[in-house]
Amino acid sequence: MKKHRRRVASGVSLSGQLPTGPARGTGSIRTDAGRYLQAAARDDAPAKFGSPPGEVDDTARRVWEVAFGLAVRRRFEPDAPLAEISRAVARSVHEHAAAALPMMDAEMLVRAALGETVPLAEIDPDVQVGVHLLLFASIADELALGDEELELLVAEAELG
Amino acid sequence: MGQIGTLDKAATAAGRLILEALGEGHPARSLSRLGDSPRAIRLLRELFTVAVRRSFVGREPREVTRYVRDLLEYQSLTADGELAREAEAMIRGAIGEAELTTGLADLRRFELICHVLGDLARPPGVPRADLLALVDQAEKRVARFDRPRNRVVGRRSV
Repeated sequence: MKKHRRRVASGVSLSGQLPTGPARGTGSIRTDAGRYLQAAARDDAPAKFGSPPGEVDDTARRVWEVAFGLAVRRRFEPDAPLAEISRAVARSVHEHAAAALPMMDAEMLVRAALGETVPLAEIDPDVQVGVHLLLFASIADELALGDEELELLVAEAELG
Repeated sequence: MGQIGTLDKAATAAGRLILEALGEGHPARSLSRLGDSPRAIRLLRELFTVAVRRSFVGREPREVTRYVRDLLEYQSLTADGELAREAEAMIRGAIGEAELTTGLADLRRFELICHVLGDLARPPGVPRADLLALVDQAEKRVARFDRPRNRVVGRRSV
């Protein structure tokens, strides 16, 4: 079985906590949260629908948020035209229509990741997770990240 | 004295009600009281479109974000949350990104329209002649879009 097909947690608590002990090497994904994100980027069920079905702890949310930020900043310049950002967000929201992500919330999260001061309060935590996972997936696709690059990016996010 | 029925008056009763509301102490609140008049609501929607397009089309789109923050802070409303995102969606919706307003409830749309249009009266305020011109253009849009041959199937929304 290929490494990226490893089982991801489903219906149980999903964590981004790094395992204790020395890392076996750099650039490999070491958490359930990281594997779930990798599955989302590969359009694997159930991750392709956004939020996982079970419990998600804060470390998992943190991994996804960091990965989202890394991907956004790789995809867009800090002063990217708003039209370019909103087009990419709209494409992603349509691509993942089943998750019904609110477009404005998604756009604001992207703009905030680029350093802009935007209204971010009152975004539903599940929406936030959905945006972090699914926009990450869309951006990974737009950047045509290969397996290795994707794994490196997720592993980088796991380190915080 | 102005020229009655020409320069200082809107052509329709709804237009006159709106101009009156804009002249009161709390214009956004006064406009929201017109919510039980379908004609006033219809005209307010077009007035919103006209006013927003005149202000923002061709400008840097991030000015909408800055404007919304300023508007909500001036009205002592929360400027960093959902209301701000919805206001931005409404404004950008009126200048070409219609899908941003998908799912926004009618009542919230109306509230946001009242906040933005009420801001036209914020000191120093839009000159009276400009205000009349905006209302006139909005009335023409209502007349144009509501002609039977121009009716679209389903709801028109801003």
